[in-house]
Amino acid sequence: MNHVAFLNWLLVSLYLVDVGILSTPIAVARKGYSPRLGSVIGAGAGLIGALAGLFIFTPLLGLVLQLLQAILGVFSDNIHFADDLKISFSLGAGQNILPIKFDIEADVPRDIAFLRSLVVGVGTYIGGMILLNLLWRFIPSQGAVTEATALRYNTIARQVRGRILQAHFMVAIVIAITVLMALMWNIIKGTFTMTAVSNTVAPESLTDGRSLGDIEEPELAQILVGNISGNRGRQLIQDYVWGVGDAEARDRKSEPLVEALGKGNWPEDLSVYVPNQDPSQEPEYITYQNLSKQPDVVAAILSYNLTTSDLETLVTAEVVQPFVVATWTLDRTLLDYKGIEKELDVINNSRRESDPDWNDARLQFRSWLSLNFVTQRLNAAPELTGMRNAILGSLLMISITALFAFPIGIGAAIYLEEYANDNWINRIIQTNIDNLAGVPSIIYGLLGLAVFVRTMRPITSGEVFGLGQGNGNTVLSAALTMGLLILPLIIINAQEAIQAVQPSIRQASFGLGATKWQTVWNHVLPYAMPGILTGTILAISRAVGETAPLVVVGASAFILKDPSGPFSRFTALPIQIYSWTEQPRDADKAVAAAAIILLLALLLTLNSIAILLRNRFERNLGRH
Amino acid sequence: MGNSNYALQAKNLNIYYGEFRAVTDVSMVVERHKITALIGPSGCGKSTLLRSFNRMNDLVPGARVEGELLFQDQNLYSPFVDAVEVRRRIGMVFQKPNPFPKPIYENVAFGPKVQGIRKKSQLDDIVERSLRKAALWDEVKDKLKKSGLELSGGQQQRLCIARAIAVEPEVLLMDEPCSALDPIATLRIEELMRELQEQYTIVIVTHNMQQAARVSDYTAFMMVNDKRSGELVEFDMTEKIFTNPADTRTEDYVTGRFG
Ligand SMILES: Nc1ncnc2c1ncn2[C@@H]1O[C@H](COP(=O)(O)OP(=O)(O)O)[C@@H](O)[C@H]1O
Ligand SMILES: [Mg+2]
Repeated sequence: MNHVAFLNWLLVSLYLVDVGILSTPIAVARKGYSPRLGSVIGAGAGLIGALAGLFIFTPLLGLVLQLLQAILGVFSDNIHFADDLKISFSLGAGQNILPIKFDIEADVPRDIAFLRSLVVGVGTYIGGMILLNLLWRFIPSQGAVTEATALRYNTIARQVRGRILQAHFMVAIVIAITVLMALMWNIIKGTFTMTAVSNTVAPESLTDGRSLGDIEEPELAQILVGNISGNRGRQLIQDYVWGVGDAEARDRKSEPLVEALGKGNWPEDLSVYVPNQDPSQEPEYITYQNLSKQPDVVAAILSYNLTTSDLETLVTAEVVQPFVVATWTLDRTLLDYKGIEKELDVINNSRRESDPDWNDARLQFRSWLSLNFVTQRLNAAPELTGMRNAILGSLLMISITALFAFPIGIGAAIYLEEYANDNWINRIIQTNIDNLAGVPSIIYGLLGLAVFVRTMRPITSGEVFGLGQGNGNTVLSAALTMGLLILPLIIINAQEAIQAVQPSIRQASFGLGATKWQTVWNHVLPYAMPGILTGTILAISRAVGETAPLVVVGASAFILKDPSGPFSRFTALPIQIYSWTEQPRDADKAVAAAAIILLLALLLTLNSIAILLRNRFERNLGRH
Repeated sequence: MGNSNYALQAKNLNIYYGEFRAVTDVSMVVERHKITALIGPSGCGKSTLLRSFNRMNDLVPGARVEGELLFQDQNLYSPFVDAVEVRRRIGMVFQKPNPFPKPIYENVAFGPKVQGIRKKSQLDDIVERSLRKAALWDEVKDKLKKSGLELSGGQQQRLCIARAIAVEPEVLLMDEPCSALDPIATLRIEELMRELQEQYTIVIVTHNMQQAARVSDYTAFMMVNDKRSGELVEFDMTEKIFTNPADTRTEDYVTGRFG
């Protein structure tokens, strides 16, 4: 027998035992037996029934199917569905469906395995149910039972049944919690890991032994620029100070750099011309084009625009380049430290052989979730990356989403509940809203791409306001798309909250001569507000976690600048989780795990706000 | 010209819920500063008739009223009359106390506020005056900020009365205002109605024969006809209805032989 069939049998047997335990007490109590005993007998009967089903009804069913095949064979030669359902009473026969030997037949074709397991399941079920029914029907009655005994036994039977059902719910809760804990543990053990870290360049060799933290901005910038290529230095200016894409930088490469960066980003004491020129010639401006040959200018601009800690991070990232060779999850760190050390030795030894400059990797416990992880911007290296722009992107996006979807959603709900007549147009609108709540999010993504990113590009890119970079893949587009996604949820929730407002309150208000709007504004809305808010925040939580629409409307997987407003390009937490899990190294997975925790924390915060708000509103209404 | 002694004058009122005629051909008058009681078995259309007096039936989808209802010689069901305006002049108190889940003060101030009174001092005045008239002031003057839901059932109903009279209506409609209250709270409300009678005209629906006999000046007895539609059987001075009714059905009902 294959393992699918075994599993099938196991589940059906469990079910039969369960039915036996639950139903027999009441059946036997009617005939004057103790219900407690009944539940034990029921369990036994279920189990015996399951075995009987396996050994008797399963082969019988196989036989029936074979007979059916033989009969159908008269009409056609091509019917072979029961070929593999041979009946045999011998133990352990390989080809037979009688499953005494629980060997896993890996080479059984899928459809045959499936048919066999189906036959086993159905056969077992038939057998079990027949035996249980026999038990319930043909147990001899103990003659006439007095009213009092009958009452007592029936009461006990119902109590037994109630307790068993309660046990079922407990088991369900335990299973659910266990699964959740397993999920959480899986994330946590990937976030707090032992890592093996190796530096590409030893930091002491850069600073004559001083620590990086003690060095001032200008010198840090000098060290940085002195150890990277001219092109890389120019790239840093482009990414961290200028903040434009490659295409735009190329287009504006001959523009004086001071104009491109803006006067505010230019150090006061730095000449805007290329130094040491022939004085007889027209002075040449420093431009993007000639920047790579001016390391001192690069250093001055960087030192002027970046903070010490930013510079320190850059030196570490660009020059020292520590990298995580391997990571070990939290459970291994706690349970198998020796094993990790051994693995580290193996790694170092093999690296040393192939690379004489190898700086030995050292073990370092690392919480990938750290203050830096929250406050630093993205970096291509998992060792150095932070999630600041992703967090800001997510927050900015959902703020705009909420601003857009909340008023429209409430407005729509009020219209549908209070003002809409019961005519076919409104019925169609209502049905549509109900159905839209179930549309897969990727479809909204596609809609957002077509409508917000493409068609409404002049608006969503900020062009008509003279802002942005003419590109439709902005925070605004994503926020509007998410708004559409959660609008049906908000509307439905708000409608339910509005319906829950007691009709007597409405009547009281109308009875005092309030107009419809006064009634809605002063009574219906405030009393429905706790429900509306809860629904809205839950909907927004959904928007925070959605990934597919973001991918479609073109949120960036990698971007260095923080989002600066509705018209900037951006990235978001789910996108980061998605893209870091796609990367090959251990360390990338750890970043994804830490980002998941950040996302969960964000969701928890939102939900707590929802609960606080709701309690506040309810207190205002005098309900306790 | 109608008689200026009449607050309301119903002329051949027919009230429908969709196809169903719930009230058939009712003609009666409500005299000023008197208490008029509507009595009759359950389902005979008392509440329906009462609600038609301040156009609360407009809120029921499919409800329709035919006939005339004169209020100061103006037909309230003429197309030029706004139901909101009607309800500002003819207030209503419901069967189950239904205070707003808001502070007591806000409950009373709501009516004046929707009519455009914004000044705090004026509102304070109205709230105190209304609560005094409803004999509730002494019990709640220290907790005006507490929710109306924190009061007892009888207090809640008096709050609802205070709320209704805060807009200075001319007529007060009460639909079984005591049916959810205990006997003591019921007595207080009955006393209150006697006091309010000085300034307002009251129409009360009641199930309770003794109550009708105790508090009302006029009584209208309604019953369903063979089409299950409510009809006005007899309308007269309360004393006459309870001691010497003209119709045997009325006699059967008020003596408890039926219903
Ligand atoms: N909103 C409504 N829609 C439809 N039928 C109603 C509605 N309200 C009351 N009715 C019907 O009108 C009749 C009179 O009801 P009602 O005025 O409440 O009687 P009463 O107050 O005398 O007990 C009843 O047959 C009732 O079923
Ligand atoms: Mg009624």
